[in-house]
Amino acid sequence: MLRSLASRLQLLELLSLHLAAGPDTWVGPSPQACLDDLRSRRNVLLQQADQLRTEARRFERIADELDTTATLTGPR
Amino acid sequence: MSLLAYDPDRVGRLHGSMVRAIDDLRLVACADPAAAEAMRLVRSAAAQLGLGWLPLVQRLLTTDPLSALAQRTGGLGTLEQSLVTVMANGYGWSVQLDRLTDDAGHVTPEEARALAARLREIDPEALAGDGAQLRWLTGQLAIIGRDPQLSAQFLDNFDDWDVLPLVLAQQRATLFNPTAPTTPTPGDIDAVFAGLMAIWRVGLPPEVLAAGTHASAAALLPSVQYPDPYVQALMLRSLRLDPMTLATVTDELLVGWLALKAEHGTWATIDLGEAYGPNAADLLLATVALDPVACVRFLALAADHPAVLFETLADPEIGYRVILLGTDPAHATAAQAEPVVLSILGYFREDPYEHLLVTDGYPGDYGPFLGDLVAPWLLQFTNANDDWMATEATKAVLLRVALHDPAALQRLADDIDIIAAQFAASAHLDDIVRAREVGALLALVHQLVIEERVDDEAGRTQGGWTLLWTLLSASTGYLKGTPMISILAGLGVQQFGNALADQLLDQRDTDGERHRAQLLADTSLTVMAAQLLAAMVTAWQHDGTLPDELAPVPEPDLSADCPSAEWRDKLTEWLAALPGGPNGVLAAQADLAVSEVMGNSMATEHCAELTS
Repeated sequence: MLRSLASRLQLLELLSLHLAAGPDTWVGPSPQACLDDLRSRRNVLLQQADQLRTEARRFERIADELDTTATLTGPR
Repeated sequence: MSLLAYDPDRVGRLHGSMVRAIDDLRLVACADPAAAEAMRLVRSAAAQLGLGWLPLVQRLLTTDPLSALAQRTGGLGTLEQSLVTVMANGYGWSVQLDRLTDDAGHVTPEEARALAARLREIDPEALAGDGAQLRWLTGQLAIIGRDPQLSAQFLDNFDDWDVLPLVLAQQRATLFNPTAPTTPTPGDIDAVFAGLMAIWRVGLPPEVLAAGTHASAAALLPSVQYPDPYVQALMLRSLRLDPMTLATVTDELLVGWLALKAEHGTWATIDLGEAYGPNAADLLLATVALDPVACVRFLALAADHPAVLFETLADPEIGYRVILLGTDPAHATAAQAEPVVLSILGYFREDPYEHLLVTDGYPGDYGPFLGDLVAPWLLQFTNANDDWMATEATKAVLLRVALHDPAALQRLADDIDIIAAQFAASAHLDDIVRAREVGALLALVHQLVIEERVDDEAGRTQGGWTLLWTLLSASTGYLKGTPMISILAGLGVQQFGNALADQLLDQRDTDGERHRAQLLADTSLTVMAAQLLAAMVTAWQHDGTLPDELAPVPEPDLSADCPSAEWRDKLTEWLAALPGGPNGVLAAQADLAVSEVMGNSMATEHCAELTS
């Protein structure tokens, strides 16, 4: 589920919105603030996608360890 | 409140993209607690887009653009609105008010380009007279100059080096007039130059910036059709050049200035015609004067044409600072100082005011400066010192130039600490060499300030005595001894001169001034020789070469017809009593030192005439 969300985040339309909000479209304090905000959110969301994948791997590792432990100790 | 400019078609497309992005964000869902932070970021983005940026875009699309009048009222055309102005005027974009105010602490590449473009278009005179605009511009230029990318963007769009710097410089040159407005200040304009040149510097190859002895103004500065030295000076001093490069290009510029003056007359100026304030030479040499290395380098070049130091500056004190720093033994070797000191003295062999007309560069009241100039190098003027390559005659002639000026004499006497420091710097020499140098110096100075100036009034001659007393005092420490106070017991400078004068008043002066001068010379030289010898003896006793119980050096009889002859006789007996006898090493050394003082000034000849 986490990997799925990570992939979803990486495909958000928001991530490419800054390309349409640059100085080719508008200039001024507010346009600059908008552009800065879009770039910032893009970076944060991409980082979040990476973290989601990292978290997913961590969960899988824990699950593997639990499985290994269960195999070694055998059924009671 | 500020302005924003926009392309309506592109903003329309942006609106569509925003709507789709918001819808997209709203479709994202995940109930996993581990995804809570990600979901918070998604919701936050959707909220900001929907409540912040989308309404802004919708307002632009549904509100009429500002009229031309409203645009001007809103600030279109000002430097602060450079980017909006460029897009509105150059690309036909629409303009509306922006609720946010521009962050002056941040410059985008587009803003850097637009600012450069606007600087080509604005009225430069209006800008040069607007202190607030200049200060805003300074801030922007400083930000751009710190960023190579922004600097490149700016330089790609700024080619107005002919006009804007000239107008700014013209404005600066007028600001020193007492009737000038209080704002802007010269500092406001200097700061703009600093910003412009910081940006220009980014585009210069390192080998040009640090060209050192091969530097040239043409390579360092933007190419302009009519380069003005004042503008060039403002630019160069803002380039933060290394000392060698700065000195080299300063010399180039000032030599050019002299040529300009020679061609157009003395009224040709390098401060854009203004009668007040620093000119180009003042600006550049004041910068050179901040660094001893630059001073030494500049003087090495200027030694060939010292007029650059005395015929360009509105404030001659700046030139003095450069010279004294660049010839200070702390920064310059004897070999480096020689051509400079001798060249400058050579320049003043003729009173420059006799051939210089009223000019915007003048040598000032140079007498005290000449005293300071020679003070650290007095020993090098003597024939007993071989640090300098010039002939004895040349050195004597040039030292006379400094000693001819009463103010220089007085300054030299005041510079006893500098003179003593110079003597101390020769501590590696052995006693006899040092004694010879001091003796030769005393004799030389005596010759130049006493014997050659007998026709001067007493007050001027007194300056010579004062200097001799200074040299004697300084040499006392140099020779590691103490003054022979038994000879000049309790006599101060004035009293020393008066004592000699009293002798002269009482003496049998039937041959007028010449006889009077000869007696004066003989008496004073004898006293100095005795003083010098006493100092040597003290030093020898101090290091055990001579026993303490040795008979004191004979005292001159100032009332004798020929004090030197009488003292010489007593000296011969005294030398014979030294260890080793009259032909021993000590006697020879003592006799040699005495001869340096008395022999060089031909005391014997004086005495022969006195007793004839």
